[in-house]
Amino acid sequence: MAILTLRRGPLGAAGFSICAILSGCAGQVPIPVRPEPIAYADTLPIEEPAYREPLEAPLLVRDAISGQVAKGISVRRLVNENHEALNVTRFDDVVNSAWFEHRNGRGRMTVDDVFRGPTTGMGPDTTGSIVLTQAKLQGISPGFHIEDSRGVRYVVKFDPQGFQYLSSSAGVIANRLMHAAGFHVPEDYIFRFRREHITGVKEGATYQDEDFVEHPLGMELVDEILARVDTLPDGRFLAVASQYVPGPPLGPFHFSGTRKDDPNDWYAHEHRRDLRGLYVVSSWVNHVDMRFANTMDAFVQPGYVRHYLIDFAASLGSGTIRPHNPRESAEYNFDFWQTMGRMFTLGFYRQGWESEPFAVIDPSIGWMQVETFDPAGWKANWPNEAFVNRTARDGYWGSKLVGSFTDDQIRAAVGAGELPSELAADTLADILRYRRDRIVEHWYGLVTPIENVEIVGIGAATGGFTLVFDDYGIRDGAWTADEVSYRWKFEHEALGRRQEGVSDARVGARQSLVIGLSALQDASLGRAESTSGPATLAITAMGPGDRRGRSATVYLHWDAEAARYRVVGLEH
Amino acid sequence: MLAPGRAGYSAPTAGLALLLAVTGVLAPPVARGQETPTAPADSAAPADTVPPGPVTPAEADAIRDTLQRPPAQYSADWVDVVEFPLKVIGWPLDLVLVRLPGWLVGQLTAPRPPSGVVRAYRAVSEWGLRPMIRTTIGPRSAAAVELQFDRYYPFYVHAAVSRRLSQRYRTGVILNGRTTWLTSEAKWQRDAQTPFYGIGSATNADDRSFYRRDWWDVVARAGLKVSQAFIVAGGAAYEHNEIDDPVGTSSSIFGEFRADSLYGANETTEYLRLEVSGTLNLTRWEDFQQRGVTAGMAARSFFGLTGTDSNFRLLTGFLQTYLPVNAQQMFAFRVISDISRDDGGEGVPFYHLSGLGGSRSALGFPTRRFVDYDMLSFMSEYRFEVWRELHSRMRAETFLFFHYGAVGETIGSIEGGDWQPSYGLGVRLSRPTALLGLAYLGFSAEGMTAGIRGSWPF
Repeated sequence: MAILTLRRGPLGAAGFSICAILSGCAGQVPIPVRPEPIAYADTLPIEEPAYREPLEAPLLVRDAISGQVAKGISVRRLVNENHEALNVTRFDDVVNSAWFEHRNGRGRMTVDDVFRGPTTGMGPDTTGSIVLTQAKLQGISPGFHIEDSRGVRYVVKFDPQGFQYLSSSAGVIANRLMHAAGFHVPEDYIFRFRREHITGVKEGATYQDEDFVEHPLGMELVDEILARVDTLPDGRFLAVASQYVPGPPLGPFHFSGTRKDDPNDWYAHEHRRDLRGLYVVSSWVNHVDMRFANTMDAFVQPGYVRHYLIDFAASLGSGTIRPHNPRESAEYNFDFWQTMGRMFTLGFYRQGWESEPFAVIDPSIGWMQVETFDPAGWKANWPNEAFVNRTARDGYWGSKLVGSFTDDQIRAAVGAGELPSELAADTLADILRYRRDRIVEHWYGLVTPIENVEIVGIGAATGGFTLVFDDYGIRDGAWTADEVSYRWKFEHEALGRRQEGVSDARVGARQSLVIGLSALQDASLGRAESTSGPATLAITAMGPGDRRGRSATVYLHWDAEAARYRVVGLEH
Repeated sequence: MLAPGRAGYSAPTAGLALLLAVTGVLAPPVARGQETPTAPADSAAPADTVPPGPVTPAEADAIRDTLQRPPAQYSADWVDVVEFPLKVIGWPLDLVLVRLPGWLVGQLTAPRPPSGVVRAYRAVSEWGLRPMIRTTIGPRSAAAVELQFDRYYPFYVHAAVSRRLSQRYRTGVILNGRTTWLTSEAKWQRDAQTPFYGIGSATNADDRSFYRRDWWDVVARAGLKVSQAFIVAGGAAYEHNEIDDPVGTSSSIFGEFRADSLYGANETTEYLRLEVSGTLNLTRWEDFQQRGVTAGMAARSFFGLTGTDSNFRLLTGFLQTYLPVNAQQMFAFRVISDISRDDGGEGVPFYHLSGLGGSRSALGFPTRRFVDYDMLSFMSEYRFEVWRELHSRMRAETFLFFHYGAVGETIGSIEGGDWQPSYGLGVRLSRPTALLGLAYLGFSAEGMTAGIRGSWPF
């Protein structure tokens, strides 16, 4: 799909006027570009949608069976005609939205910002009264809801016995990393408290028993839950406290389709770059439980739906109620093709994880793949359409987010988990760094990871130019400058220009290519063709070794009056 | 391009949008730590932002209509055309095989208040009246509705009726101790459609006919758990049998066979029955697999009473073992034999002869497809895991089975041609220490059998 097509539509003069006002391009000839996503366009006010929480089981069954079968026999996949994400800019990125906001991926956050993440305070205020508002008896791990003296509400959940810090720390650390990556997450805190801090029950609070019969909430439920929880040496309890997201909750979001009662929800979710790229970030933090039930739409001010990822208890080495095991992240809960494989080979078909040694790294960390981590083969517990639809470009986009984290930022995020020992924290940080590097190696290797493309040094007579760009492969340590060279191919059909060459990389991530062009035979042609189709410059990073990622294509517009090319797009 | 699929553009809305844009009244929420994305400095791309300022939902609708964005969804291309036939075929399959079961699973597992039926069931169960659906009445009974009343435990009353109108009514008392138990029970049972193909291994499947057996007995049994693995039991009973035309079918043994050649068909029989049995169970469940060996033997002696001139013995023995290859694969073997011996008079009534067929001995055949004095069957299964629930609470295995059995006047008289092979496959669903149920397809020279069961002999 060509990234640049002539903007058409019935807008006519109004369309042009909007262009002029939004872009400051008044007085210029409209540049032939396709429509782009508009930042925060999905935050325009809407009427408050109703809460919805459809049954998850039919969706899981559909995605696990029909989705996997359809993928297995997909002609589109066979002929490599996969649909790319729709909400991408002309520079192969996304814009800020109700789904995603550029944070560490663009303009590095400070380690303090990473450490704080989305939090605005210190968590539940134990200096005042804390009252019980709701008991969470259902779900894989019990807990309760509280309200502190400031009126802030939290969901409080505990670690499995014998694995103190396991899910609490993992939840908070993954929360910080997801936030810094750009996703909307609630304010999660490590919460240490004594039984006495829970001073009572909110007036009128009730809970539902397993028959959904309402009963008055009593402190005995707290005691019942706390009786199943390990205490810290000082007698306090440790939990993760997740602050209610702002605004009324509207239920989880799906990884396919759109929310029909949200007119802002424009792009089919399975074609959203941010959700497809979330696969990579999830693989990094091993958030195997990334599914419908761990998302939340909320109606936030000034009146739009913001899409949150919630509950990261089953991430990193934590399986919420126990440490992860090698099967998780290697196979779906119901993996249709693996199951068929076993069935038709009489059980002799084996996955690598089935013989993988498995020993808990530390009770507070649990277990997760390190050397055996496979960035491309990682699987969440349940498939979803957005993850399944990911392409190399989506993966690269996600890996840019992961690659943007420095060692110090990772250590800061781990610090927020308040693991019980420095050794545990350092170990987990090392694991995350290792997985980050594997992710960067893999996904950067599938493309030519150049960014921040600019033209400098224009050849006045010919329109030849020097193109500078950042090689993220060098920047993020996937390869070094002396391992890589760039093969480039310039084409501008309208002006009959075609040129190619190879350049070695120079030291540092900022690279340049000198694109020497011969003078135009007919200068009037150059003037006449200023609104013609774009020129393309395909750049392929060669090496290290026999690495052959797909080319990056830089789209260039010939500005006849200035007799120079301008960069108008980039596709990886 | 005007946003496709949304309300069409009109001059007033565009004007409104323009007005709002110009006056700067659209306000994007500002997120902490974010940047507004911008194209590189020399890019001619327009800034990708919505102008700031408050706006109402209604005004926002108008603005949305003017936004130029990439399409919301892909339009059809040649790949969709090529895939269309696959989708036409797949759609009904998806609907029936995936979406409908998925919907059912969703309905069954949905966290919601129990329905009136469920609440009523729980209430009557707690009160001591337990309705259930099981498959425990004789051959061809299929699923039966059962009702057990045990409010006044250890006394109980039980009634069951199957789809084919087989029936069973029991009442008695159960006295359970830690290592001993004592039961006394009176039972009346109707096996409404018991199939019969003739006696011996050379019978023809096309000769199938049916009979009805109405029988009742009064029994007292005692058991002793000698050790954790070894259990013995014994008892005495009075048994009364009557044979008649089947219920629900006109295919009767009285029309198909010379009934006077079948002892028991034309006679009411009454017996004093003495029973003794012993079971040595050295098996255990470990991570969804059974391991070890179990063996058992049961002997019953029948002594004719009043007008019944018939004495006989029935002896049953079995040995089964489980051989795991690894955590996923295992073999299971079972040998079972039934022996009937005539101790005088008219001998063994035809309905007490040993039978081959069904899950107990030859799954590729229907229950009691072959009958004669003795039966011997070798059963083997290869089971292998195909799916395990994430938290190892459940797993599915596929099993392939091969059963090889025969009937004859004596086991020694069974010849090569008497052996009846059957084979098939199925899927078992189990919890770590118990079978939940299974579905199977069995094949033999006479055709196919299929079934769903909640229990399995081994």
